[in-house]
Amino acid sequence: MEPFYLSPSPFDPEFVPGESIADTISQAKVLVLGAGGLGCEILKDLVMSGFEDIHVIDMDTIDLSNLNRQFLFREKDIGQPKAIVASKAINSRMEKEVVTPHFCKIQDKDSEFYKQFLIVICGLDSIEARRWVSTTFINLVDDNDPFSLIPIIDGGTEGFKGQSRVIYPTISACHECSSEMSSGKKTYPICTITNTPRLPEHCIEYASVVLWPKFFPDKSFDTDNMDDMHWIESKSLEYASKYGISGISFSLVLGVLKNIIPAIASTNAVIAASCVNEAVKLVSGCNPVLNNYMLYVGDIGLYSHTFELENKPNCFVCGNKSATISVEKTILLADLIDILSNK
Amino acid sequence: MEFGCTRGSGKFHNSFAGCWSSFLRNHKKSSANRKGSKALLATENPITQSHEDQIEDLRTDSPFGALLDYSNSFDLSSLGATEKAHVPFVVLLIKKLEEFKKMYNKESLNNFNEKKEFKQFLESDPERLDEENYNEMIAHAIRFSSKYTLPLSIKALFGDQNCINIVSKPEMVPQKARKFWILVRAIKEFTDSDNEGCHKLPLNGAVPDMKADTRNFLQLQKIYKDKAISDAQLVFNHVNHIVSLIKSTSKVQVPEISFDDTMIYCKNANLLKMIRMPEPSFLNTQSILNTMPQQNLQEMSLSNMCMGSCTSVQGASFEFETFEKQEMIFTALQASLVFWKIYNRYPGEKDSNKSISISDKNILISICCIICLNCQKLMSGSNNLEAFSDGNDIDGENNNSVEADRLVFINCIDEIIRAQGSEIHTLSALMGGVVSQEAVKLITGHFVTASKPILFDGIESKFLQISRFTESDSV
Repeated sequence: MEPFYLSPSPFDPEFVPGESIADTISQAKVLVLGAGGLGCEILKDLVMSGFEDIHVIDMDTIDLSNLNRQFLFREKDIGQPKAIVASKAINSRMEKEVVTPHFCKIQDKDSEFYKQFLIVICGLDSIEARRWVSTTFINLVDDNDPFSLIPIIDGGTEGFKGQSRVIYPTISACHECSSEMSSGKKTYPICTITNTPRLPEHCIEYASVVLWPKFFPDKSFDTDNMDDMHWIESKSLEYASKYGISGISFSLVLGVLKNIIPAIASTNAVIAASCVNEAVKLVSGCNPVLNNYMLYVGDIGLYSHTFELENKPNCFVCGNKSATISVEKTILLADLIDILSNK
Repeated sequence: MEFGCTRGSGKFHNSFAGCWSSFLRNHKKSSANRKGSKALLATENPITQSHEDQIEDLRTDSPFGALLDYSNSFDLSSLGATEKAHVPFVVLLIKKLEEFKKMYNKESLNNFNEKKEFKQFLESDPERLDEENYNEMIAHAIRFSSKYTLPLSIKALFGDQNCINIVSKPEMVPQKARKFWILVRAIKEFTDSDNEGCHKLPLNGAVPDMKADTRNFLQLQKIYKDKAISDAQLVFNHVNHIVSLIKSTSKVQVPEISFDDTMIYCKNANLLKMIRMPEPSFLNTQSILNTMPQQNLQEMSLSNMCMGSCTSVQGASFEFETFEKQEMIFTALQASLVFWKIYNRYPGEKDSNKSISISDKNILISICCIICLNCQKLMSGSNNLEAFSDGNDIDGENNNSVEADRLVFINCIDEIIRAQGSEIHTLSALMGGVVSQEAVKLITGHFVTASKPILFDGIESKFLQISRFTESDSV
C-alpha cells in the first residue's frame, strides 16, 4: 500500500500524501462485528492491509457446518467462541497481538465502549442486528465532537449476491432509511395452512405454528435445537402425507423456519474484501470512498449496481423532521397515542 | 485463484491503483493460455440450469389436451359460492379467455390493448366473485393471455451453426459442447414437430401457488407435471435418434445422455444459453511485444507520438466498440504489462540505477496508443498534456467531451503509475473471490457465468464490463 500513501491521488485532490499515513492505518482502532463467514475474511483482510488494533465481537460458538468457509477455525475448535478462536488464529501468526476478542452480544457493550473506535465494520447475519448497530451509532453522534461520528461499513451476502455499504451516521442513509429494500420472512395465511395446504411449506408452517403450541404450550421451538427441528419435520411429513403433498425435507424445514440462505465462501471473500477496501480508503484518505452502496450480483452473470442510497428525511432513527400537532390541554394520553399512531 | 492473475510472465499484478484490479477472463481459457495451448476448452460455456426466475408457462392461451379436459370438467354455473372460490384461477382464466376470443372472433390476443380489453372484460364480468381466486385471475390476466411465442434467445440457439452441425458434421462441434447441442437439437425437433411440441418448447411443469383447495391444486399440479414428463420423453426419443445418427455416420465421441439429463434441459428450456467469450490474441503480451518497434520506444515521447508517428507503427492493435473508463483502464493495464516486458519493472516503479522517470507516463501512453486504436484517436489531437484544450473549436461541445475523456484516461494512467505495480491485498482477495465464484458456476453447471471480461474499479467500487472489440493484425 505504501506507494498510495506517498503520492497524490488523481481522483481525490484533497488527499495529502505522507509518511505518517501507514501509522494512521496501523494505529486506527477498528471494530469488527461478527466473526463468522464475513468476519473471518474481514479480520484477515484488515490485518493483511496493515491494521493492528482490531476488536471483534461475536456471541456465537463454532459449529461443524461453519468450517467450510470460516477458515480461521479448525475441527478441534468446535464449541469454542468464534471471537476468541478467530483472534488467536490471527495473533499467532503475528509478531504482536493485533486482534482483541469480545465473546458477548453486541447489545452487552455500552456507548463508552463503542465510542473508542474510528470505524466499525459489520459482518452480521440479521437485519435486526444491523438496525441495532445503526441506531446505536446514530445515538452516539454528538454535534460538538467530530470523533463521535463513527462510520459504519456494512457487508452482507446471500448466495451468489452481496452488498457493501458505507454509512455516516446521521449524515447518509441508515439501515432504517432503506428498510423497505429488505423483504421479511414469508408468511402464509393460517386458513390456507389449516384448511387447504398446497405446498410443502404450508405443511411445515402448520406443524410449527399450529401443532407445536398444542403439544408444547409452555415453550417455543428453538431453530438451533435439532430435536425440535426433527419433531417439526416428522409432523409436517405426517400432515403432508394426509393431503398427498410431497417435497418435504429436513433442509426445507430449516429453510422455512430459519430463513436459511446458503452461504458461499467466495461471495464472502468478495464482500469482505470490498468492505476492507473501503476501510483502507476511509482511514488513509488515499482515494474516494464508496458512495454509498454497492450491490454485487454473481448468480446471473457478474455485475454490480453502485449507487447512493438517500436518507429519508422522516426516518424515525436518523431523521430530524418534526411535525406539529395541536391538542387540548386536557387530552388523555391514550387519545394522544391514537392521534399519533394515525399520523 | 491463480487463473485470474497468473499468466504470461507468470506474475500478473492484478491490483493496481488504489484500488482497481485487472480484468477477469474466463478462467478456463486463461489456464489454457498459460499452458500455451490452443485448446478448444470453454470457448463455449453452455448454461443449462441458470436458476433465473422462470417465466411461468401455464399454456392458458392454448391449453393442451389434459388441461383443457380438466378445465372443461368444471361447470361453474352448477357450483356453489364456496366451491367457486376454490377453483384455481388457471381454470377460470382458460374458460374466460376462450369466451372472450369467441365473442370477438379472435384466434389469440396479439397486443397489449387487446389484453387490456380482456382484463376489463374480466373486471366487469357480472359472474365475478370478490374472492381471492377471481382476483388472482384478474391480476394475471395480462400475463397469461399472451399468445405463446418462442423466446428470441432460443430461436438463436435453434439457428446456431452448431445446432445444424451436430447431426451433419458433429466433428465440427467442440467435444465438451456436444451434449448441449444434441439436447438443443432434440428440443428443436420436438418444438418444430406439428404433432409433438406444436411450435412450443417442452413444458417445464412448474405451477405457482394459487388459491385453491388441496385436491384441485394437486390435480392441476399433476396435469402440468405429467405433460412435462411426456414432453421430456418425446425429446428423449429425439436425443436417442440423434445419438444413433451421429454414431452411424461419424467416429466422434458422443456423450452419454440420460432421461434425467433430458428432464433438466426440458425444465430449463426457456433459459438455455450459450456463453461465448472472445479469445483475443492481444491478451498475449509477448505477441504484442513481437510486433512492437522496440528500438525507439524509449525515445518515443508523447509529442512525437501525437504528431502522428504512432499511427505509422505497425503491429497488433485492438479497437473497442465503446471507449469508456473500463476500456481505458483495461488498455492501460495491458500496456503496463507490455511495459514490464520491456523494462522488467512496472511503470512508476524505481529503476535500480535511476530514480522514477517522468517519461514512464509518456511511454505508457505511447504503448496504449500503439495497442489500442481508440486510444490513438483519443490522444491524436493533443500536442501536450497541459494544453489539449483550445476552446475555440467550432464543435465546442464535442471538443469538451473529448477533453473530459482524455482527462479520465490520463487520471487512470496516473493512478497506474502511482501504484508502481504494487498489489493490494483487498483487491487480490476480491478478485480471488470473483474468480472462484465463476469457477463454482462453471464446474457445477449451475447459474450463469460472466459473458464478458470484467474489471473491478475499486475507487468507485464498481464491476464493469469490457465492451466488444475487434482486432487488426496489420503487418
